[in-house]
Amino acid sequence: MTVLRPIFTDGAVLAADDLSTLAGTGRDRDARHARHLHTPGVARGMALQTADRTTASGATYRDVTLSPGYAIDGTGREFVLAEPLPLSPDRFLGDNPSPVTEPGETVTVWHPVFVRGVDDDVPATGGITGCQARSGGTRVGEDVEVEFGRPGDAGLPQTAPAPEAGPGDGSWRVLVGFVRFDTAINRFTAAAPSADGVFADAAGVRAALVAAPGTRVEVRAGEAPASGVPAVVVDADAGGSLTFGRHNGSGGFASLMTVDADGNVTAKGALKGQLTAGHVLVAGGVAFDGMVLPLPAGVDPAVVASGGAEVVVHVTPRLPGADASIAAAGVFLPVECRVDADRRVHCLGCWLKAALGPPEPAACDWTMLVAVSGGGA
Amino acid sequence: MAAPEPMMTVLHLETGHVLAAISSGALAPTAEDLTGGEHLAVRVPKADEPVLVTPGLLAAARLAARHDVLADPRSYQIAQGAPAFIGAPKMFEASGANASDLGAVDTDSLSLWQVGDHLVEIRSKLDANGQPAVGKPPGAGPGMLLVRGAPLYLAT
Repeated sequence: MTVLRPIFTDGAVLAADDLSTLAGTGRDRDARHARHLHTPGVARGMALQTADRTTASGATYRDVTLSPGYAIDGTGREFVLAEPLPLSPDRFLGDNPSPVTEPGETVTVWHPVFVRGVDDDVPATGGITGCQARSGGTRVGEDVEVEFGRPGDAGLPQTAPAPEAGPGDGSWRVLVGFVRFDTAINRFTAAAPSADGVFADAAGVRAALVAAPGTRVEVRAGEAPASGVPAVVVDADAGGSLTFGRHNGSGGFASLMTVDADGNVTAKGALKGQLTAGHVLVAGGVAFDGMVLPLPAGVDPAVVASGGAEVVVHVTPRLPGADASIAAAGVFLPVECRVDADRRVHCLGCWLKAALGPPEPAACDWTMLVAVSGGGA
Repeated sequence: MAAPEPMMTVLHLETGHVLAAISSGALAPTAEDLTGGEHLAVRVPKADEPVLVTPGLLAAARLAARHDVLADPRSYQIAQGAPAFIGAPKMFEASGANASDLGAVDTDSLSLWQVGDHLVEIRSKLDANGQPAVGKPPGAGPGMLLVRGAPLYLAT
């Protein structure tokens, strides 16, 4: 359907529909912008906050309140919550008549908390109407209500509207957190922004390009550059650089890793991860007969087993008695010192005293080199 | 900055007897790592096959490295978190003038016997002769007899 906008001519008589279309044009455009350029979720506030309470019988529980804030849903409809909104235990039981509880307990598992939009007719407030005017409200309140889902509802798909459509009817649900509920006292006991690895929806940006008007672009995990807030900065100064670091809260930014314009990487920490071709890792020490030699840190045994890395082991018999008198102990003669395909040590030797003794297990010095084959691992 | 203290990992049984030791720099291998998830091969003199001790029977303890323990781990037992010398392994004699006396009567003992591909664990008390009340199972090959505080006894 084509997107329409109203036009007016001198002397024309305007109907209510014309003015409604005029109002709807901007609202629809805003919704399309929000929907197509942002992902749905909470943009500010709308966090579950708790207050500790005790019943007359001494049972503890928590009142849960949704803080004021702003969110957009998947249709581009905006949710504006101007005042704190207490969560209703009665509504929870209405939405979940038989909530799932933890085994053997009266407290439920985490249940998702959503907000959704509601249109409320607002009564007319003293406007002048002509004799042919129809009755009815002249304003619509775009309210927000809380809805409690069942466990698993947080991941349910929701249907996006057609590209040209305006905002939805409010039925799209935005996840704001999770609660636990005690069915013995019919009160909430906990609230959290995430549960079971699922986080409250946070509004995002759909963008294939982020371009700065100046020379610096920063992405940081926090609105304010408070102390410890991590950030990534792309800076065109000095030929260009990419830096990961932390803010110090007083305007400074401490770099932890930087890639300069020549591709040089400077990191304050250790570089770890999958091996690349040409990498050689080393391990070594002393090992006793019968043990399997461990691979160097960062080497995946599966990579070695698949032939993605070449393992070279060098072992040398370690003469026992090095700390004691060899004259008293006799002479130790190595018999066998090797490592098999499983990297298991076979190290044997005999003591030569008055006569040659039976072979005994012994220790060896070992060095292992693991080289990653061409193409990486 | 001071260099980190050299460490070693010892594999020991529930009785504390150390069966093997390794130093490996900063690596902290587990019993699974050091057995390949299969076994630790413990040689017994005059036996054709080793005793294959499964990782479930072994604990890996990370301790300050000691050359004497690394060179001769089977002469040590872990006691109160540290290696204690208990003497070189001995061959177990079940009877005769040199019959082994592992300890006082009613002391707990652990015997591990290699029976074909399987390791048989036997827990019993010592009898009045200082020997495990339960002897070598039928068809068993080499084995180990372990009593806390006593040396590692090996049997063919």
